[in-house]
Amino acid sequence: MDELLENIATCIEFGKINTGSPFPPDMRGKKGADEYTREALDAGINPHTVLTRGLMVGMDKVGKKFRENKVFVPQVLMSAKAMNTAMEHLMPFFYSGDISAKGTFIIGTVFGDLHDIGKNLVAMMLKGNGWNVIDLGMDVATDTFLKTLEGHPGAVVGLSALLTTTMANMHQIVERIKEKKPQTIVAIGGAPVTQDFCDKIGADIYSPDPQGLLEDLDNKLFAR
Amino acid sequence: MIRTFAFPYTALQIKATDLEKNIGYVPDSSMEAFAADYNDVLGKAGSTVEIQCGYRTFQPVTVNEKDISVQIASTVMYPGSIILQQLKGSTGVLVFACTAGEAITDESRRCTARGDTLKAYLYDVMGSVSVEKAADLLEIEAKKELNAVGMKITRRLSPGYCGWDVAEQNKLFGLLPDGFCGIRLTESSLMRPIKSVSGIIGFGKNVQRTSRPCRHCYDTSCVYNRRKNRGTKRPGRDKQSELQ
Repeated sequence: MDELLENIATCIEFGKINTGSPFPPDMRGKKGADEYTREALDAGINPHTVLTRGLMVGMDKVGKKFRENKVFVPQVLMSAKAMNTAMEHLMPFFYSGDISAKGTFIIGTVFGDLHDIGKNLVAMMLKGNGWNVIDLGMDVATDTFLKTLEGHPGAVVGLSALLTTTMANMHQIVERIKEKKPQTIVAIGGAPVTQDFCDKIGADIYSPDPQGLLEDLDNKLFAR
Repeated sequence: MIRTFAFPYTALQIKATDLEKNIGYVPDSSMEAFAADYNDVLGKAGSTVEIQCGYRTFQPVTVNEKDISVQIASTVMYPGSIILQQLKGSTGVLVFACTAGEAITDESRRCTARGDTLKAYLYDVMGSVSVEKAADLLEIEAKKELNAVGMKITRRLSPGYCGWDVAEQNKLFGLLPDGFCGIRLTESSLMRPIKSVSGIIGFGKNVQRTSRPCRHCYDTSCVYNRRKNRGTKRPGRDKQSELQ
C-alpha cells in the first residue's frame, strides 16, 4: 500500500500524468498518477487515504518547491494536470460522500482587472489540496462574490489582482463581505498585494505564493 | 512629432530561451522538458502577435526636483524621486506606447478554456516577451533619431514602477491621440490589449543613462523588485544595458 501511495505522490510531484505522457523526460514510458491511482483503488485502499497520503502529499511537495523557486509555473501546471487526472478516479467517492472536500473556495479576479494566470494557478492548487473550487473568472463584481457566497455558506473567498489600481478594489469587496457575512474568511493575493495591505483592508489571509495560502487555510480551519 | 512603428514579428527575434528567462528558468535548463511546447508557441506567434508602437515627442519639459514633478505640455505628473532622478537633465520626453495586440491574449484564453493550462501560460509569457522586445526596438529607433541631433536618452520609465503611481497612466495617455496604437485605458488604468507597455523616455544633451531604477527601489509590492530579489532577470532588461 505504501509503495503505491508513494508512487502516486511522486507522479503528482513531478507532473507525470500517465504512461503516454512524455513529461517529465526521465519518467517517459513509466506509469503515471492516472494508472497508480486506479491501481490503489482497485487494491482496496481507502479513497480518502489515496487523496491525503498520495495526491495531496505530491501537491504539497511541488507547492513547497515552487515557493522556494526550485520549480517554476510550467512544472506546477503539469503537477496540477496529473492531480486532476488522478482526481477523476476519486470523483465518484466525492459524490457518494466517502470523501468530503475541505470546504468551498470561491475565487475570482476583482472587478477592473483582466489578469487570470495567477488566479488559475491558485485554483488548480486548491483543487489538488482537496477544496471544492468555484472559479468566477475575471473582472468579478462585488455582488457576484456576495451572491455566490449566499449559495455556499461558510465558503472561503479568494480575491486576486495584478495592478495597484485594481488591488484597491479588494477593499470594497472585503468590506461588503465582512458586513454581510462577518465570519467569512477572505484571502487575497496577486503581485502588488502585501501583508500590510491585507491588514489595512481587513482581509484574513495573504500569501505571496499558493502553498502559503493552503497552509494558512489549514491553520485557520484547524484553529476553528 | 508623432512616430509609429509596426515591427514585424520576425524583427523581435524571440527565442525559446527568452521565454525561459521570463518564466524564471536559467536559459536552456528546461528545454528537454518543454522545448516542444516552446517551439509550438513560437511557431504560432507569427499569426498571434501584432505589434504596434510609437511615441510622441514633447519639448521642452520641466523636471522639478522641488515637488518631484515633471511637466509635459500642460500636464503635470508626479513620478516619484527614483524616476525623477533618471530624468535629470532631460529637456524633452518621448511619451511612448507599445502593444503585442489582443490576439495573443485571446489565444491564451482559448487554451485555458480547453484545459491546456500550460499552453495558456506560455502564450501569456509570449505576449509579455513580445511587447518588451518591441519596446526595446522602439527605444533603439528613438536613440538613433535623437543621437543624430546630439541628444542622449534615458531608460524607459513607466507608471506602476519605481514608485510612479499607475493611475498616472491616464495623464500619460492624455498626451497621446485617442486610441494610440490601438491601446485604450480602462477606468482602472489597465491597458487594453493587456499585453501593452507605456511610459516616457527622457532626452537631452546632458542626460545620463544611469543604473537601472530597480536597483534603487525597495517597493516590495513591485513584481520586478520581487523578481530581482528572487535572483531572476526581467526579460528585455538585459538588452537595455547594451544601449548605453
